[in-house]
Amino acid sequence: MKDQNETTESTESTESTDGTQDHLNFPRTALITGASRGLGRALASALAARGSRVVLVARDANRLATAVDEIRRATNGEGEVHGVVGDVADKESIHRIAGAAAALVGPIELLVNNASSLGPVPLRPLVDTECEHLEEALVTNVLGAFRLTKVIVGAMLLRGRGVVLNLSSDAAVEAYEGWGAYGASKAALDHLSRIWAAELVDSGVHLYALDPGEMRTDMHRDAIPDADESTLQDPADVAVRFLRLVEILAHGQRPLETRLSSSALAAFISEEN
Amino acid sequence: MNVSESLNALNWHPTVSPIDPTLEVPMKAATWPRDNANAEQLLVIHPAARADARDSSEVIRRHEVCQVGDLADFLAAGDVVVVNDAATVPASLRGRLIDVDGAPVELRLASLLEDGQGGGMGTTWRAVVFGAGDWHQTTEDRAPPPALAVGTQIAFDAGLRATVVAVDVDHPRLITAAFSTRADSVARDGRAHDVGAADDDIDDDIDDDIDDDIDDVNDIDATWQALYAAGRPVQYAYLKDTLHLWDVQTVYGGRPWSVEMPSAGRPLRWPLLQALRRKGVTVVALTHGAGLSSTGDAVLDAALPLPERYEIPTSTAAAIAEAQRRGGRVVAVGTSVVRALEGSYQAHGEVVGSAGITTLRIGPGFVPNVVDSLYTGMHELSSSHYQLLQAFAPAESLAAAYQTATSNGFLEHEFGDSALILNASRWHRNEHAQGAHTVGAPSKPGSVSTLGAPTGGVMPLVATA
Repeated sequence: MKDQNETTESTESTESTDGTQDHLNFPRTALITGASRGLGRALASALAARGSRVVLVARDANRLATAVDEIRRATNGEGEVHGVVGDVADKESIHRIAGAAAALVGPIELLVNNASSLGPVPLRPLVDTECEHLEEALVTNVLGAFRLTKVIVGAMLLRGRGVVLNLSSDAAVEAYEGWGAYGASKAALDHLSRIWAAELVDSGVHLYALDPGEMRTDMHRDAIPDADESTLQDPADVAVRFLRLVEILAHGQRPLETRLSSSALAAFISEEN
Repeated sequence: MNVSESLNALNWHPTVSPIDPTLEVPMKAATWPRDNANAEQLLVIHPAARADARDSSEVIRRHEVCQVGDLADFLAAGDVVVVNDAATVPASLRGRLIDVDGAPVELRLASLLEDGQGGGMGTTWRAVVFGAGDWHQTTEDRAPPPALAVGTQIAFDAGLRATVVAVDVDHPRLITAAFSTRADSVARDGRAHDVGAADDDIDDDIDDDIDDDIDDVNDIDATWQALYAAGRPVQYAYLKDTLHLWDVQTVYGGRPWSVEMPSAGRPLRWPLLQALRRKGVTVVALTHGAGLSSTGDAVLDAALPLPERYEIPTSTAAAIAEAQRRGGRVVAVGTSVVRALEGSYQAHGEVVGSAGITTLRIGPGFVPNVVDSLYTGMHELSSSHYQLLQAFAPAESLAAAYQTATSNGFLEHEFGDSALILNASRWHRNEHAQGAHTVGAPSKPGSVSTLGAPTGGVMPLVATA
């Protein structure tokens, strides 16, 4: 079957069917899950610094409060940053997260489904993976992202504007030994993303699955404790690339594929520059 | 030959005379969400059909029974459909008074009274107080609430607290409540309202990580989360089970402004909205905080709807103006959209991108200036909803339609079936041309206040239009 995403490229600012100019400006509001650490926190920080109203979501209340506090201070109190404690793996929490976020900053224009579970830590082969470990990875990485997208994307569709970014991984493509739960869940999320994107064609809402590449984060440390950290990217640098993509989307340019590897994202950005 | 002469020539008389709705077999309530929205029933009502009738077959089709999935058949390119994109808040909060007897109460949020920072919402609400009990009892059968005084505090789950900052003079169960997660002081923004040391028992309920030095923003963040953790959807006794928040959202709901689901839009799922857009129908949104439909107090019920806030995006106002310029119809999804659009018209002389609070009450004799057609749910004939419908179709035609709906097994209330009243402005024009209709819709400049106006402890209840 032909990949429907090949039809999504469009370079002009389209007149949407609701009669308004589908000129997507940079998102004024953002919700980021898994935002107390790593890439989520770096994205929140970068968005706050450039004036978006940002809601950080994380499970750990104390770590979240610290992240919110530090981002506020880093922006000299200019950035509007809010913290919402929640676990995307819990269906009952989804409307709490989405509702509180919309109450605090208004309709969400950028959603980053960044919260991810590795499954069993330390990583282990599938034969040694508990059923519950696989379930945990699927619930957080697939169902969590699906549920939050579902409750937020409807308002985006109606207003004809919005961006959703799902976090992918090269483990979704390559069959790395020991990465069964995580890799399978991210592969599922990739495909879910492709179907979302196909269904959102020409709606003014853009959805991508982005592989950030290897980063110096707690999650990476959990997965590969003995990695040479000097070879890993700083999450802040990855955040800059992600937001560059969001900027480019706001100007009406779009990547061909829904899933972008780390190198494909870098290549797309440099082409547009 | 004019219209009435042509009707005489057809020897046509209304087949159904005005019916006293109280004599009718009542419609059954939908007791739970159904799975296939497109297959729910839709009654399309043509209030102008009588005057427009050219032959007998048209005369008979004053209303017709269809399905929600047929909606696009009745709309045309150039029409604009306006929906309410308010999400539904878990507005039912059960708690206990913080005093010696700790009496149980339920607060049902009615409308938000203050803004937060930036684009955010504050945490002071108008609310209706109920006594012991829950949704299983009808609101009329609920125990009366204890008398609340200004300064009374109420404790809820998840560390949520409310302080009563105003009590309505005429309706003692209608209060203004400031919510917080702080133990000592509830209201913010220079309106600090220290109520003294809190009860020791209650301190245990407060999250440990709420520190004394937490700032106002963090408290607003925490209060919204606690409200979502402690609250449940408002629901009524005809439902068969306890609702979850998932059950009471429209597909496109965004900001949590509504204390009950803006339920007219509930059956409108995305593929149907896409089908409308493909046909050339514009679909746009406004936000309107739909209020409570029942308070348990007959006098207060008669005053519903209370003032409700709305926000109309500039792009929505532009889409409406464009449709009107091209002769398209403005189709409101739900009475909340009617109130917002007509309220905006009364305040500004046209629909403009604006935020406001409307106190507009719409009923028989009101001639809508903006909305031509209305997509709405089925609700009982005694409600304020039915009053509003009479601005779009004559009571006689509504009663006949209701009878048809009932005999076709239509279900009522928020999970029930739907109605579409088409071309009401043509009906009004015809009535006007015949001189048989009293034109209502007095425009009162004072009937709409801007959102920025001080709300304080004074609650203007209702300005009749």
